[in-house]
Amino acid sequence: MGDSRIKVTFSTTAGDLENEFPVNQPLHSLKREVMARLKLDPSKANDFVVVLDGNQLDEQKTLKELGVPENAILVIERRELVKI
Amino acid sequence: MDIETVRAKMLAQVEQARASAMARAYGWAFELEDLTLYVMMPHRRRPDHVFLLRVAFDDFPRRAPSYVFVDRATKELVPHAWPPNVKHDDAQLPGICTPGTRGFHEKWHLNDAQHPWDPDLYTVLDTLQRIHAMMEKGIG
Repeated sequence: MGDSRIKVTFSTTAGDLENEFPVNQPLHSLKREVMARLKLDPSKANDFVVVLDGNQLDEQKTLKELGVPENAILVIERRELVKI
Repeated sequence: MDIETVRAKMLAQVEQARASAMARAYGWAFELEDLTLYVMMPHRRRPDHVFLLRVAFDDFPRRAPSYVFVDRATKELVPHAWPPNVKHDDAQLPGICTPGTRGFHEKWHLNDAQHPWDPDLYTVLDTLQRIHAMMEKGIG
């Protein structure tokens, strides 16, 4: 049960990562893992948010708690808008 | 740079953006006309708000592409085509002031050592994402 996974895609401007991820792991931890695998600096994870269908997700929650569906696309976006 | 090289460089970046899962998540629709790309951008939470972005690649990658919003039907550069709070306040050069755009690198932040133009850093996908975020924030 603790090993349950769903297939989702994390998308960043550096690339996409489609994989099966554990549903009971907090999103902030998944975000760091994905950033590292996409060669993005995980120490900058707090500069980015995770968005589903235009809504920023609570990263303290797990995929299961967030109700993220199978095959969802989770976009990792910059936290702050860059307009200079 | 010859036109075929410009076209090849443009297509590589456009294909990267088009193939990205981000393009599906944001609902972008792409249309290419020679060296000009049109991207339909719907607001993700308010789908009644849809905008058409025109990206001109002349002299790419030596120069950054120019990005402007145009009328969805006529593809003309008109004031009502712009989402709120996105257009840079410059009567001579309509544009968007964010890294990756021509106006940003060639005028508004010319000689800005923090943001030199780099087509491999400020990719089309990266710039589309920035502009999409600005559009949604402008609409609210």
